Amino acid sequence: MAKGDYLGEFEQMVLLALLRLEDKAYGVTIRREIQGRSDRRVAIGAVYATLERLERKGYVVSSISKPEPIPGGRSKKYFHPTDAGAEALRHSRQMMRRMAEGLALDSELEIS
Amino acid sequence: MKDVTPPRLARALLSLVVPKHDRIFVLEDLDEEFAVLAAEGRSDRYLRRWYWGQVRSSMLPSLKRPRVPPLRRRTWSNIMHSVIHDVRYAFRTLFRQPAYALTVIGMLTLGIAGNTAIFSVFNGLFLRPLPFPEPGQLVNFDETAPRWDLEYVGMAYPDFDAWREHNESFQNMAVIDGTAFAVTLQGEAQRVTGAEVTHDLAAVLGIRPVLGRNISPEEDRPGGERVVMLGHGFWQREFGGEPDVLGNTLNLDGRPYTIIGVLPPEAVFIKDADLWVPLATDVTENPESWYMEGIGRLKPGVTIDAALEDLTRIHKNMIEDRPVNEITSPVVMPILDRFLGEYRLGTTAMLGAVGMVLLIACANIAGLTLARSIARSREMGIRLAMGAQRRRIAQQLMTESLVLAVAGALPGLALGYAATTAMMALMPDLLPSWITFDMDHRVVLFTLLLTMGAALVFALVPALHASNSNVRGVLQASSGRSTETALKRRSLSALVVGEIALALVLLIVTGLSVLDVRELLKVDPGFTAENVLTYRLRLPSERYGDDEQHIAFFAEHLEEIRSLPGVEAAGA
Repeated sequence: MAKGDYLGEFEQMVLLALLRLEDKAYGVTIRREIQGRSDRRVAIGAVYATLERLERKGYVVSSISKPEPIPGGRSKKYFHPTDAGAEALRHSRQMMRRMAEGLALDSELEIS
Repeated sequence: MKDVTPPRLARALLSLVVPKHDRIFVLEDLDEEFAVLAAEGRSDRYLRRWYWGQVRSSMLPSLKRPRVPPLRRRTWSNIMHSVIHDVRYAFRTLFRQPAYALTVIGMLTLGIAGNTAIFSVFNGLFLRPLPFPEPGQLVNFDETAPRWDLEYVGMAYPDFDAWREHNESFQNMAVIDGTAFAVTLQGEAQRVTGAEVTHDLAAVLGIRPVLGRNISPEEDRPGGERVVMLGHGFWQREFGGEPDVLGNTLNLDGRPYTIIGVLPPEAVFIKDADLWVPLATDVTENPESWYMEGIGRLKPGVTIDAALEDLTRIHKNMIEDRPVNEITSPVVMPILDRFLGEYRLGTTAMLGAVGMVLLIACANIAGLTLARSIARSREMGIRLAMGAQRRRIAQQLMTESLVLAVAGALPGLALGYAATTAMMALMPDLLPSWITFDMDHRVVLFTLLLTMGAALVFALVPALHASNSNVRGVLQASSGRSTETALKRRSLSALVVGEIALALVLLIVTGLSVLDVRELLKVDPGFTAENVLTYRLRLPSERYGDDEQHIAFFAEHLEEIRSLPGVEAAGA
């Protein structure tokens, strides 16, 4: 895997959210998933910008749903990770783990 | 309920910065969350602050985004989705215009049925290999005598004997004489086709008896033991496939023959023979009779020309002892050419004709489809205006055609098969019985390719047109004529012209072949064939040994026939 394929932190979070949400991943659920688990404010515009970046890299594909069968029902844009996306995520996480290997980082953090 | 709409200014601001292709989703996602929070009973102030917060932190990331949407990746799942979508859409539009769909399917069914039927025949005759090992090595040999005005005179035994003895080209050579026997089975006489064969015929064909043994060289001599090999079908039919037939005797023309073996099913290839008996002749018997057919197996790598040269050398060396060989000379040809050569031209011509019929059907369908696409140009224009890719529209139209083609091909295949069966039933004696016309992978593959080809042919023009539509032109022209529809009308005219040209060619060809057949029918045989019946009788040589007895039998027989009411004259 090339150097440029390293995923940023927020990109990893978005991909992880997609994996968690499976086929229910669209703007609202993705934003809420990340906000709920990371406990930080997430802007919808940032989520969409990241998803599009991932889509351009081939890590994510999007599909547009049919309008909901209710008056005023709307189409949603759903996102799915690709195999390449899952692989890039695994690669990035391994790299972080290797960097942290042997350091008493985790336990120190826990103590403090 | 209070005012639950998001702050208008914030929403407008957001819609300004988010790229167009995602705008609706971002705005509506935010609306949805806003509505949820409102439903939870949050205060107006909270809701407004929350919304403004979202917009504020979305500004920078949204502004940094490229303004063009990412290319849709051609992933498998994407392609499958679009294909499934297209197929569904195709079914919907076709159901909406059942007259068009049924006309197209009907035309295709007929076109494909014709092609499948004729191709099945062609396949059965020429493409399916003979059921013998290394069928390419098998050749037919014979003698020709242009001076006697005969293309094939048949093999004379002395020539065969010399060829077999001295040739360097063949692994094995055999001759056959087709015949028929009066066979007495369970007290009832039957006429059974048979063949007198030299002992090496099984070796030439490379077949083994399924039961018992082959004819031995000793049995294949004048005065040799009378033995018979049963054809597989005959054995099944008359003996129920019982293995204990070996050693039994079978009465042929009143003489007892010992059953020594049962032939494999593929041996019917020879003269449709149900029985094989040894030819049991030698060079001294009938040296001036040409009546047999030769089958040989070439040595690996020996060409037909080389074999012919080899046999001609032997044949002409015999002239001193056998002057008639001045007149006759050997011929060698692939075995199928000899047995089926006369069908090749006919079936190939038929294949060409049905191909042309399908082409005409395709041109017809293309015309219909184009006319329909003129009617649909508004739909296409709107889709293009809404950002549909031209490639997608062309793909959609191709899918529609393919759906139609498959819908026509399936009944076409069935109808073609039925037609083949019916055709064969009409002319049972015309073709050797070992030829079968079952559907095999070649026929199915042929039909499949034909279907694809047909779909491509009749969809190409409309698809090209649709994808080349100019949006404004189409939308403006919805009411009447414009250059756009004029162009389509021109293609339509071109199609019609092409179609008429094809039909004309077909008509001329058909007319010519009808003339040919008429000429054939008009050939005067030199006698009045109306109300004349012919038949054959074979007298068992056991009871009617010499010519006196033969003549006496027929004299009596003719008297009886002449005395029948309705018979004017009879002769033998």
